[in-house]
Amino acid sequence: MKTRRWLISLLLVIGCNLPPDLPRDYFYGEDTTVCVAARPLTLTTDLTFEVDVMQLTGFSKDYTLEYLDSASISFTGTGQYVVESITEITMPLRPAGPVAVLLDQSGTYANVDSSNFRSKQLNQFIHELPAPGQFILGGFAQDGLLADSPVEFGTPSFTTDGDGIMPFLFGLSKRTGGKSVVYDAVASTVNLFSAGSNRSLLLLAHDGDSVSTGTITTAVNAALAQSVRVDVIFMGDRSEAQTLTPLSQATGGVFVTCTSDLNMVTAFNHLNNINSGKPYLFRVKVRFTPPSPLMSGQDTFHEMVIHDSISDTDYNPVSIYIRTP
Amino acid sequence: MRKVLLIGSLFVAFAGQAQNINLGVTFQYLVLKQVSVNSPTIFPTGSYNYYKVVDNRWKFFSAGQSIVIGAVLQMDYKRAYFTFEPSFELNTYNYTVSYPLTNTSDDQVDFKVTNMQYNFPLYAGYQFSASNVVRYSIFAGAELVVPMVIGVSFQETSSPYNPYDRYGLYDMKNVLYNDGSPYFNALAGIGIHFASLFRVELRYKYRLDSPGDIYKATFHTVGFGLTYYLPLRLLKQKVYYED
Repeated sequence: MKTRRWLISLLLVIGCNLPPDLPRDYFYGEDTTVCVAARPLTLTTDLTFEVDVMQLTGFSKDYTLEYLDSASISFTGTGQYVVESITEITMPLRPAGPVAVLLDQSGTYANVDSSNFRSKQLNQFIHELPAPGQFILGGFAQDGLLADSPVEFGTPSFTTDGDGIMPFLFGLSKRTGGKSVVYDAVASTVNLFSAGSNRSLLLLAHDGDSVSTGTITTAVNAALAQSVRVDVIFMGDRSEAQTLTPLSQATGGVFVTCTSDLNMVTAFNHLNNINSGKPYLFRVKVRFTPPSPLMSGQDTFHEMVIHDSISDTDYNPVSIYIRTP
Repeated sequence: MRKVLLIGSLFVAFAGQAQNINLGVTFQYLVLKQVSVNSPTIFPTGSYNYYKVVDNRWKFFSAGQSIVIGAVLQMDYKRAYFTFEPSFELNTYNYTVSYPLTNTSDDQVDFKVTNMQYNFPLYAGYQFSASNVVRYSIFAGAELVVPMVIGVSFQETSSPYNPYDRYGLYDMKNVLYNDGSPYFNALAGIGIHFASLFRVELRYKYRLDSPGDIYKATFHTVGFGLTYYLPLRLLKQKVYYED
């Protein structure tokens, strides 16, 4: 009798079929190419430059593609491009520090991020910041629905309270409108860093600047003066992306040109891990023959496209800014 | 455990005093439900989503349904009766939250929780005779619920977005369900007895605790039941309502 009772109890216990207890879920994106750095080398009749690219996998938060061959690389635009060499290097370590996050509130999310992935991906990014985990979050726009211009911040200063900022973050999706004022927003935000090294600013934009009083040079110089690295995730018109490339490439930040919201998802999934010295960073040396001669100190923009031969599709483009030497 | 043993022993002791013991089967269909979360927002611990609580209303069918089938052991003593109803329940809850998309639109996310559970209700009732054939009664008690299977899914909606691609399937853990721990419901109802043949009842159940500690959820369920008594004379004593 006792055995039967224990058996019944055991059956009741082990028979209970429950949903799995899983770690915190993240969304899968698409394989995405990131421009980590670009630098000019020489200028004769041709411009030679290097671009460091990394290919992030959509199904993970830390795996990157381990191969890149020149046959899969092409360039858009006029002029002739020749890939001279591809070298595999290791991503330099970028120690963690305070992060300012700026979110483009101009226009509407409806056209570029209709599922509002940005809010939950930023939520993930903020919660997974490595120690010390200090951040400040703001939305920028002019003549929109924000309380302040160019930037309305969720907290008056840097904070580590990831849960407390969530109502502000998700509430921003209800307050889009106005025009982009990204240059002024960056220039004013970098001045908030009062202490701490390894400073960075994460800019999530979907439009080029419209109404700033400053210029891209103002924003870049302000970031350099405060030793702030600017990482940019751009999801919008590719021609507008070029206007923001100097922000990241002059300050040592990464630039991701997203052609879909799933590229953005992948970029956010990997962003915290990119800083921890990852392998499979490819340094591509390119010789560019322009249609007309270039002058010294001239700004040039290039767009590199990597083709995936397995799926016969192109990855998102790599936006490159080079100031000729 | 001690309370269960005490109640059980009282029940057994009372059985010896009963004037009539009935065995039967019960079928219940509970379709009016309210699932209510006492918070304006939900930050699930299983993902990085964020939901707004928008709908805590009572609903027919669309908040979920329950089907119960079980056995009945009823002991009558004068006008009172005590009933034990071990049963199996297929119990579903549907709960809608919203996720902000743009200035003018939100996405409605419908979570569906399906429970297969064993219920062990124990309740007491009091009968009012209307005639020799028809009697009315009210009853109240509690039931122990032991979940066996808990399944979660998204309800089919008219949303253009596939919720499995955008939201966490297990986001309602510790809000609408937990790790399967047994819990208690309070129950009450009114019944119409037709001689010793069958009883039709209106039953109300209320979950006595919340699945989670952070977001307090309450569950109310109302529905109909039909209990059919088997034609057995287990005790040959004259009961108060018989001539």
